[in-house]
Amino acid sequence: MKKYFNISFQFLILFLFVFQSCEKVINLDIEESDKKIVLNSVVSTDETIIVNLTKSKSIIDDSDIEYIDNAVIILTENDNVISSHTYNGNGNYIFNKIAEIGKTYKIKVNAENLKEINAETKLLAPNNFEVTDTFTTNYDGEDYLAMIIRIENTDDNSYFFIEALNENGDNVYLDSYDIKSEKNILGDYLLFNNQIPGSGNIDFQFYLSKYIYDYGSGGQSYGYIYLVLHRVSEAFYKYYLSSNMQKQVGGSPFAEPVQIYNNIENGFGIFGSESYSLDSIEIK
Amino acid sequence: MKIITSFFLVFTFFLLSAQEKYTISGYVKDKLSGESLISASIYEPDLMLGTISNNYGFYSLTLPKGKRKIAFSYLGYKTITIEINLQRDTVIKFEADLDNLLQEVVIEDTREESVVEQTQMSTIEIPMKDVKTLPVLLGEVDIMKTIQLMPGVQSGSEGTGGLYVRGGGPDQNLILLDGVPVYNANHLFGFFSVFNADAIQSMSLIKGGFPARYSGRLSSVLDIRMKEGNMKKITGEVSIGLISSKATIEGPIIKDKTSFIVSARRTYIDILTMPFIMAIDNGTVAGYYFYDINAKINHKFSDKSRLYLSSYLGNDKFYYTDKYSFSGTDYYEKGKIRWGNITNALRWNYLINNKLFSNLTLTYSQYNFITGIEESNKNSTETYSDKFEYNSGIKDVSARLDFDYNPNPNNSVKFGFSEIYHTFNPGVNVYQYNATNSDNIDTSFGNSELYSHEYSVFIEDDIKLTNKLKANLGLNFSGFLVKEKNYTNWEPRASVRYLINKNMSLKASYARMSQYIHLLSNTSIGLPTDLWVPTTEKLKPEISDQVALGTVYNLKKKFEFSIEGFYKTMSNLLEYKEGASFFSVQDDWQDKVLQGKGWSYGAEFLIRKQRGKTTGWIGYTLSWTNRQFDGISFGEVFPYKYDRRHDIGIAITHHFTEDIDMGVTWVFGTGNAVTLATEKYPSFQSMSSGYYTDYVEYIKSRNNYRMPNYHRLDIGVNFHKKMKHGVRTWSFGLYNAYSRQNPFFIYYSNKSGTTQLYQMSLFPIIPSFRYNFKFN
Repeated sequence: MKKYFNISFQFLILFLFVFQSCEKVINLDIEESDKKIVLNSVVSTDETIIVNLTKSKSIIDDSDIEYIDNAVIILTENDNVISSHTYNGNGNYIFNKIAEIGKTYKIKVNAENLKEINAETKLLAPNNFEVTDTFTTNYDGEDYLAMIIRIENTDDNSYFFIEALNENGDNVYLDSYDIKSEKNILGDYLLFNNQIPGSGNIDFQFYLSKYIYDYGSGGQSYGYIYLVLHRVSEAFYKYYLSSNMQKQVGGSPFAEPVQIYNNIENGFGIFGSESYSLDSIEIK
Repeated sequence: MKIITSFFLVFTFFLLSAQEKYTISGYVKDKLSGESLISASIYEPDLMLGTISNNYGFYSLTLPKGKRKIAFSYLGYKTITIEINLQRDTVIKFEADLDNLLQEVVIEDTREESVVEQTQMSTIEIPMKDVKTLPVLLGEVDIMKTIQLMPGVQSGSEGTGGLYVRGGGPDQNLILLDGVPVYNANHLFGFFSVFNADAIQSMSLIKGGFPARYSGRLSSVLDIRMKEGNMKKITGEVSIGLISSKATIEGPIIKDKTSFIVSARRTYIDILTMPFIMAIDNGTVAGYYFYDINAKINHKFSDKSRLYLSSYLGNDKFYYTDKYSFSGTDYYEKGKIRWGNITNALRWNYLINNKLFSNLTLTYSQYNFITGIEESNKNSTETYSDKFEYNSGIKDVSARLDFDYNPNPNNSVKFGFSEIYHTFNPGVNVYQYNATNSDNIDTSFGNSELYSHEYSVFIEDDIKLTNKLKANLGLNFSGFLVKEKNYTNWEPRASVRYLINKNMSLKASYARMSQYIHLLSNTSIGLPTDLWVPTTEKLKPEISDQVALGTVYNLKKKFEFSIEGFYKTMSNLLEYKEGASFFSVQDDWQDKVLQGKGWSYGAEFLIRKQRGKTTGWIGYTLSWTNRQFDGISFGEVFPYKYDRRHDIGIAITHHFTEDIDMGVTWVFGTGNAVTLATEKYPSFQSMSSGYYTDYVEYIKSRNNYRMPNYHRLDIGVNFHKKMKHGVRTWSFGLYNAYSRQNPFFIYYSNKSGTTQLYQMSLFPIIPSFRYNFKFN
């Protein structure tokens, strides 16, 4: 449906532009900011900890990305220093450590003439879940497969991503009208959260296209759908949500500007955590 | 001796109090046309007692019996003074002649109720003759553009017609056309308003100190009254301009009893551009036009009873069709965007007695927006068609009964009640699909209609406490019933005026206002996609509290100086969430918005001259406006988009002779607030993929920068000539006379190879002309 709107509004915008007298480059005296360390890292239970470090730059700086090659990183797990890491190029520092559930990770980075940054995250235990119901529903003239999953023992302020993969390992498009979900976020994940006070089981409903496309053959196929429920830290959830939203609106004058969530003290980026649990369901 | 003197004084007081009193009442009208004169002054100069006429030209004044001098005065009209021997209740009708305002000399013993004497503060009244003299965009006289030149009132973006009054949003203005709310007062994205100046008799804008009879919006009331129609003879006006033409005809159906007025306007941009579009692509037809029609009929049953029926119909439409053939298939595409208002008002005035005037108003108002696209293709074996349409709008049916009661010269009481039944359509989509060998689809989805009742009861009294001290005290009780939720609010109102001397007064006011309907707007342009939505069970009504303090000084009745300070707080304001856009049509609109707070404060300065060959005003506003929403800008306070620190408006008209006059306006405003990113850095998603580098932008806070300052000079010249059957006028104008590239929109782009900040401007210098003929 969006394409129809886009057509109409392209027409409308075109008309507006007919009235424009001209464009010119202006100088708004944008304050020059010192470059900052950008840290991108999400700890999880299925791989070693990788910390990516780059530098931020001015909005009008078109130079190439600047990796930080010789940073001094102190990473702790429950205040115990994780000593060894190797630099793998492109700003990637690989620690010989897989994160553990329930533990708190703190990071401090110093590099070149940049201000020291700090961040902290805790790896939360994944929540078990199961598919409790599936049914066909029709929306906007197309058939969809609706699913309800029950997630066990959630805490207040739990944050989740859910993704569905077909047998080829390709992501399947998901959407939801559940009040807990974040709508209109493009990408592989469906984001939702539980902010109802009091822990317990929660139900979440979403849907996927009934025709599960096999990207390899281009035709429709049935088979197993693998559901992956990621339990993420609040910071990672907010970062992912805001960064995808910003990308989606892309400077459109018809959308509100989006500020990116940031939990890096004196810097930019995200230091977050995720854990996951799996279930599968056969589509017949 | 002292005791005797005191006794005598007390006795005299009671004697005077016990003196019999009688009431004079009646209507004040223009002698030539029979049009009612609103807020005309009727007074007894010896007793210094007086009153003003109401919205229908009716007045009532109770005086002690005996020989009385009664004077009528009104700006633009000759003063009338009569002497009567008041021995009973008496009806006196005043029919006034136009005055020559080009004269500088003022007869000192006239006594219009000047701005100094009025209790009401924070009010702008601009005579229509001034509106028609000032230069305008593309020669289109526009009352909204003229009001924007006044202090305390800002325009939105370049050229747009929205009103931003004392830090309020464009939906916080109650715009009334003959008592009927108008929801979208914009043609062509706000470049022109829906109000045809030829059909308008008067307008006033109240920015604060709202009398209790008004409710429903936080920031202003724009009360526009249509002409009633000439009761004496048929007259009219025809006007041909650069992009539009209009015609007005008015006159009696039954002389002095029934009259009518019809005024219509249409653009012909589509006709002018059609040849160019077809030259580019022969199969394409595209265009834009707007039209509006105002009509009114009024009938006088008797001196006590009058009936008015007024209507407005206006529409804007973009359209295009495209046809072509390719490889044996015929393709057809058609699109449209249409929006418009219909308003109807039926009013009945009844004079219950010479002190009590009643008015019953029944109204119907509708605003509708539709956009749609159809496409089809057809060949020898297959056909395909689909159609999508989105529509939204609001519909009101209302009834209002109000009374004017003048029990004595020291009290002027108004009271009444009203009820509006709203039907909101916050967006419905319709989709149809047909194709050979395929299932047909015919479906609709989106938001469902919402129904609500908005009601209010009010009472106010304009009280003369002493010769120097006057107050207008009132109370409005309002409510809103939606589904099973009923919101109610008490709204106290108070205005006080202290007369320091006959040329200077101090004023103060307080007003609490509630607003139960809101406009969701993504942009600063007056887009027709802006949605009117109600307060709901989830979303509370907006509330404002405003205090104002000011002084007015009148110099020799030629110059008026005023200074006014205000402070306004607003709560439960609505804003779209970050990233929310009108495009997400399938979502419930309530999930896309947040509620928060706002504050606005500042000072307004005005110097105004209304008599003589040179008239006009200079206005300056210094103000601050901020907002705070949990969920926007991380919950921090941020400046409102229209937080314009300095705003200057200068409007000068000079009459060289009776046949040639010139108008000049100059506006200046510090730049609107805008949100700009200052830094960027790689995103986690791109770094973890390892395949590409995608940047996210760092925005420190909402509205963190200011666009460049805005200023513009407009010049207009009018040449009048009396002809046999009327007066013809040629008007020539220059909009943006020194072609300043004012900012409309700024954005980053690297289209030149490096990332730079670009500013888009809209209107360079634009000449215009208009031919006008007023026949009589």
